[in-house]
Amino acid sequence: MSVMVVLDPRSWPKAEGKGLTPRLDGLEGKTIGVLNNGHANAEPPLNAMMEIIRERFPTAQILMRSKPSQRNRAPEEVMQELAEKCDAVLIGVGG
Amino acid sequence: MDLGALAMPESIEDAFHWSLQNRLSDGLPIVPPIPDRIQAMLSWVDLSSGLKLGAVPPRGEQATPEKIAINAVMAGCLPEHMPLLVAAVEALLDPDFNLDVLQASTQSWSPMIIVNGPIARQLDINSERNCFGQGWRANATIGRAIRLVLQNIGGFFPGAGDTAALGWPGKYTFCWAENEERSPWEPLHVERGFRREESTITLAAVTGFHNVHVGRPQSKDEVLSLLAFGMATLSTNLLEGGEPILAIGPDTLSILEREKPSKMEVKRFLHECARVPLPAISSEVAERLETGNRLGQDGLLGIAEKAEDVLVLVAGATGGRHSAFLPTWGRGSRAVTKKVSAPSAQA
Repeated sequence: MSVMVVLDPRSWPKAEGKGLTPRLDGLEGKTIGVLNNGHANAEPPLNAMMEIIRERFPTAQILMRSKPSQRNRAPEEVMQELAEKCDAVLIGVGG
Repeated sequence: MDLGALAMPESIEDAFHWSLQNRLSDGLPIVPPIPDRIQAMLSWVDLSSGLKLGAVPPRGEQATPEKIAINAVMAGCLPEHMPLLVAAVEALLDPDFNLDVLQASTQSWSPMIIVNGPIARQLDINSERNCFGQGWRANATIGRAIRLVLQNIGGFFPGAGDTAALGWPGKYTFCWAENEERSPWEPLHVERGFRREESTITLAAVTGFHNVHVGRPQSKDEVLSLLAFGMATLSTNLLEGGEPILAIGPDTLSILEREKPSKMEVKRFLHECARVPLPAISSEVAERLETGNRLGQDGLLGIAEKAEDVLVLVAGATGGRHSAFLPTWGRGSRAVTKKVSAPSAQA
């Protein structure tokens, strides 16, 4: 099969070996962020998850925040606060 | 700059198969992006300005003039389309357009390009008969190029990046020009602060096309009532507000013009009258609709928060009282207008 040289229409990220963020050694005594993404029905599963965390890890602290709407990004100050104060963050997708 | 070279089969059938296998195509054959064709495109862009457009989500890679040019060749664009395409990508990446969230949406939306100013005639962009349809190179290829940019630079491919549940044909291409010659009002770009002699593109995230035929009304109020009736369709998107668009056809306009309403009067009428009762839903569900000020005391829901949010233009040709209602993705994405630099080949 004869071929011709064409230019690639795609842009590709340069591969970087970032690896996973180190895992927590447990949730006792940790601060868990919970970000409600603003979709309908996000609250029931997130509330259920928080209840389970409180029952199983009574010394864990929960910091819950919400996006104002599923149609926009979370405000920068919310993301900053979660990054600074939390050991891990759960992000909730309703539907 | 290393743009990356690929080996594409020369035979038309094999090339088509290759482009589909490598997910470079939108499902249709592409024009091979050989280096000479890209150079011709780039001769219409001032590369010395160090143009930086931004990252295209979800992949987050940079939309450079070179990569735009490659996708434009593939779409079948002419080199003189480049300044308009650059403006369209600027609009895509404007925060008000909110491409980040749009690219994550499962809604069926597409980037619709409305062209205003002298460039429409210079580039032969159809604003009249069948301007929303097929058969016109500029309309077909310019809209297609932007879609290929989203796909190939942004990584927005069905099932991998593009999570649209349904999609719709407007995702292949959607580009037209306002019929400024026929319009009795200031065109869209002048309304948005540009001079009539400047050229612009306005990019809107559109979720459909609805032909609104008004029958045989005799007065301005009858025409506007019927148009509002055609627009009072609360698709999921408009349940949450947005900027609905109405392109009025010439035969419908002829009846309106007898009473000479201003464009603002038309927008106000549509805003006040395009209202529907909420469907039979629970109060809990109704609360989540984010109706804002659109839910009236009468229990009817309007399609926009204010009259200014209803975009009114003129398009199409005679031969029936037809207009086009174009619902948009909703609150969270605004139609963005960008100036197009006068097209000219660089030295």
